[in-house]
Amino acid sequence: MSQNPQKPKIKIEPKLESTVVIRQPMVRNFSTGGGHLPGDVLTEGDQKVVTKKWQGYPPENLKVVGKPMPPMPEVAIPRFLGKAEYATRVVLPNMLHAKAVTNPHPRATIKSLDTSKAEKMPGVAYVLTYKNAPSTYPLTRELNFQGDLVALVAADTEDLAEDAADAIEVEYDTLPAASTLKDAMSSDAPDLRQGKGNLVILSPNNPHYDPKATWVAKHGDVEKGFAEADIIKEFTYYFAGAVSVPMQPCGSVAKWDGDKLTFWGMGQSIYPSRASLAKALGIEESKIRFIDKYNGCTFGAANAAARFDPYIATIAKVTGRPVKLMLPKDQELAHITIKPENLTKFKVGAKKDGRIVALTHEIHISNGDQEAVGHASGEISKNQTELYTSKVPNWKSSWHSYKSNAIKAGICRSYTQQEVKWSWENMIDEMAEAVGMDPIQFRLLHVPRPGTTLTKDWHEDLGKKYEAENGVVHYDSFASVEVLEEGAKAIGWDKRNPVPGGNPGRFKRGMGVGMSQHHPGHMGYHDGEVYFEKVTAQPIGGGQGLFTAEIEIGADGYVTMRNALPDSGTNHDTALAALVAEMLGFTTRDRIRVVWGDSDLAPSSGTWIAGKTITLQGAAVCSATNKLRQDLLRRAADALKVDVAKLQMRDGVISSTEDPKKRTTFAELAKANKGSIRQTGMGVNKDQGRALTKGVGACFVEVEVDTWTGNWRFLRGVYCHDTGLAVNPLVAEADMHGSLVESFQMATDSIPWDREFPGTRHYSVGYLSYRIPTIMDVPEQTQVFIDSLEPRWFFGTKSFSETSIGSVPGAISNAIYNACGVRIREHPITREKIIAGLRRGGTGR
Amino acid sequence: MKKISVYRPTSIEEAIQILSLHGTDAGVYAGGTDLLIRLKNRLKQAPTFLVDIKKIGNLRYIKETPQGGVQIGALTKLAEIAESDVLAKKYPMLVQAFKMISSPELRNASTLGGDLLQEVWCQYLRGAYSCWRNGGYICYGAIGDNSYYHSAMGGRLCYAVYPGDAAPALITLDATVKIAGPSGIKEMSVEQLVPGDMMVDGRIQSHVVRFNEILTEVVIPPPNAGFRASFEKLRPRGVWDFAMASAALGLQLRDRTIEDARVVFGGIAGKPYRERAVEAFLKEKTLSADLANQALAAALANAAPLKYNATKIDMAKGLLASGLDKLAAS
Repeated sequence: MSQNPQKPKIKIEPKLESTVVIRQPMVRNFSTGGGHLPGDVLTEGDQKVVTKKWQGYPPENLKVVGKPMPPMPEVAIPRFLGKAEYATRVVLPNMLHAKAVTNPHPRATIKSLDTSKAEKMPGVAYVLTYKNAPSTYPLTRELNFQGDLVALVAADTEDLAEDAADAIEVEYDTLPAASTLKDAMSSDAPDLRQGKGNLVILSPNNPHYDPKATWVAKHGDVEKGFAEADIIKEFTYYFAGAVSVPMQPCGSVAKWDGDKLTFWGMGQSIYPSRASLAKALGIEESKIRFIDKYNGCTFGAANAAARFDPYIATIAKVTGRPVKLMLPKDQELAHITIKPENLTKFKVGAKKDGRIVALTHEIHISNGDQEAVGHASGEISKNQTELYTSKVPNWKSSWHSYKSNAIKAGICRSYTQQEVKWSWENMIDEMAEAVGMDPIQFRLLHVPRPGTTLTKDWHEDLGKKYEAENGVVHYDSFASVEVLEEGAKAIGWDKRNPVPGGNPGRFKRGMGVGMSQHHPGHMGYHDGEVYFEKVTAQPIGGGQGLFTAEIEIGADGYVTMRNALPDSGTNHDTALAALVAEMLGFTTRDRIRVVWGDSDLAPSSGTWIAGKTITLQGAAVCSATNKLRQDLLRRAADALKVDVAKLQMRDGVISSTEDPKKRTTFAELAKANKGSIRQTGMGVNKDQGRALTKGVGACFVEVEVDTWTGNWRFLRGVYCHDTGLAVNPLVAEADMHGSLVESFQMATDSIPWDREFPGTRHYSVGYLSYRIPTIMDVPEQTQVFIDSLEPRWFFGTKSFSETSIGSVPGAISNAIYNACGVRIREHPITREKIIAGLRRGGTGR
Repeated sequence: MKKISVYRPTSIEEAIQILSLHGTDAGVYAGGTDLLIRLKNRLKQAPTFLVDIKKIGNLRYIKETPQGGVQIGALTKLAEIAESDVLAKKYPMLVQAFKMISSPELRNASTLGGDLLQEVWCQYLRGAYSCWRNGGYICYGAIGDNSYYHSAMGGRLCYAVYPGDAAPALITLDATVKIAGPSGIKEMSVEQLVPGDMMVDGRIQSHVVRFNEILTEVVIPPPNAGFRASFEKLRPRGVWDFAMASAALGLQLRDRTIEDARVVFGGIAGKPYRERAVEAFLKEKTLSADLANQALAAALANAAPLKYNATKIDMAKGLLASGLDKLAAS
């Protein structure tokens, strides 16, 4: 009992603290002959496959979707209480702890390896090296980056394992290495690709083949374009690489019961992770129970730590004891994927009125220890190029991906964004200045907007990737104008002094803008759509895969959502539960339960990736829920002898609209059906999915530079997103706060490499040399959500969690330039560069 | 981690006996925020026998002296100094400087003695490289990435900067320390305590405290009327980080005339770098808004930056200007 019964119970109403929501009208005419017109059917796109508007669920009279709500208690509360089941927190009786021995050189082969001392040490159970690694998943003597795996030691305690790891004697033959982009590009670089050269090139049959580049796309006649230009400028930018820093140390636990393996992993999927593990171990997938309910962030990057999983499982099998691995941060860094180092050159020609008429873009990327085209793959390259070239008549974009002795490039809190847009957003600012235009107006002149079409010849392969009509694709639900205009209002752009360093005094303030476009606005298809059959008729691959969900009504009337995907603080189940609640006519989310993160409990699904969960796993969830809704209505109609069209569904009660006394409940219907009613749904993502529903965002930044010392502060950030209808704006707001902070970090820190001994790190001292922003450093933030309803999807929602993230580093750089006249073309942004630039006279030129 | 033994003596005498017994294999364990990290990172130089002095009762205090100065026990937490009303009243600059040391969490654990005598934070030493301070014969900072943790004012063997903020602030206040050893108590100025990389008992350290001695107390003389001081620190983030450069400034004023000055830079040299050229320049000058520019001309003429750290000098000069500007405006 309460000590003070008079004291009123405080109820905290969840509300948005710092978010501006710009609602757009439900009916919009994009003047493209399509888009989103009154009536039930969309007119744009391929008529044969297009679905009904809103999928039958319009964003009207909403009770749950669109309301600010805290994360689902059953997902969030264990996190707050420190009881969530992270792999790194799993402790089992008789468990061994594994520690890694890693390669100290950028490139080497193992000359000799002696584990005898370590094996004799007390408490040591097993040492795994290239000599005894499983044949299905070997370890090699060739080591291609610092931190590459040499051996794993398992012992009774972490300390004993660490001591034993120290006692392993390894002799290395060091080999010539190309750790940096400069080294990998150099003509006398060691050849890392057996005589093929470090630059990865496509097969000559590929339409984007070029003997001197990995991927080339072009449009128009660039030479002709430059001849017509009034102003021609050339720019070079460098991005020094960046890493995301998952809070949870990468780790896993393996435990065998006979021939059945239970594995607690870390990553962004259950079934694809299980499949890779089964393949590596040479066993059937069904022999593995894969559990991954919680991750302390993954950022895509931590997926790569799955490299260790088969070894852990092997040691557990051989020793007959559970084994746990928890990588220290310095070892983890070698295995999580990073934003790669890159060098970008632009040549840009514009008319006096500001229109760009010719542009060449050339980017060189260190891809790390992998053969893949990586960032230079066509689809990705196109995504990064399209924002400012869709209206440029003549352009050429060439991408060069080099194999190197660096950490693997890959997903790292968005793929290909900050690292590629660093140069684009700096360039656009510099070009705006060259033509004498305001950076916002210059962007508005070039970005696509609703109504902009892309023709087949804009990209040769366009028709293959999108639902196109005669090879033409329209931008429709695309808030490119609004993110700029609303953001400008929110930051007070009219108070910006357009003269760089033009404000008086020691402490100079400045504002900058950056923009970003990314694929997550794309969505998949669910199994209620014709195109789903078309896509799934071919094999599904590429890590995107098929998504399945199951929704069940139990005899108690509660709804269980079975949805495999792990949670990484993403709170996607919170959003998906809101969609389920809304579709089933609940006015709260309280009746929805979620079962997730376990291959024994939730049906097969793909990998959550690129911020597309709401429309990929969401496709499966919404499809299943839609089927369940229809099923419930049919059953109620039969039971009540009322026509389906005259039934209403509210909070678990189905009643006649004409005679509310004619009613039944979900619980009764479930009881009548042997205790449960369930439906499954599926979703799929193939390539980029339908139409140009790309996400678009912008970031506005205000900084203050101390021109005496080079110190600077990030004062304010206005972060604008084309959100569609945000399913849960409260969680979205929090997610976007994190997004801005992480992208800020990526602007101010490079990969923590030693400048003088590249390829080696000084990361072992924790975060001494890698400075993640703290609460003292983060700016005051305003989020701007542009509710540009997506007509093709349930309730007008779309994915947007990564659309704006690429805009931040360039926006900060542009703001610093505006404040003090120092243009930082070589990432990262540091105080040293600012003070050095100020000493050189403030323009940085 | 190496096997360690921990002693918990209850008196200074007992602690000194244990330290004497184990020689340089022993080390004083106070807050642990430096020592335990060296152990965790497997530095060869980290001691095996830890002499935990936290059970010694009479080393944690802030006391006013009858003359109006202050004595601070070596085990006093940095947070206690940062939050002390007595110190805030008498030496506001000191409190301001301590509030900029590391983070609130670490200030709650770290001690004054530990801050003064802390090991350098060079990334090579802390990464367990075999350097001068860790059993080797090379300074990786001299030949490596020396942008942050290394001296721009030259060096001898170890080029790491003296990392602390307490020492530059205390030198500006003419503070002294007491050191207990087998033969009694020694006294010296804080400036003499941390002369930079010195070979002491066969190892390189930034301070002159021997293996069998314990720093017990810091004494700050009474503040004079007309004394004004400032502390400026530049770091990449608003918390945690060591100074890229710092400047502690003390001016003894008679009206607006500077009778005496202390100018001590941190984060740029192997020791708190007292810039006597600027001190001499400032003497008898009138404190005014344009004094900063003139003072800068005299500052850090002996700079000897390494490959990557020339901007430390620009930053340090900027901080000096900033400090003078604030004092002129006050």
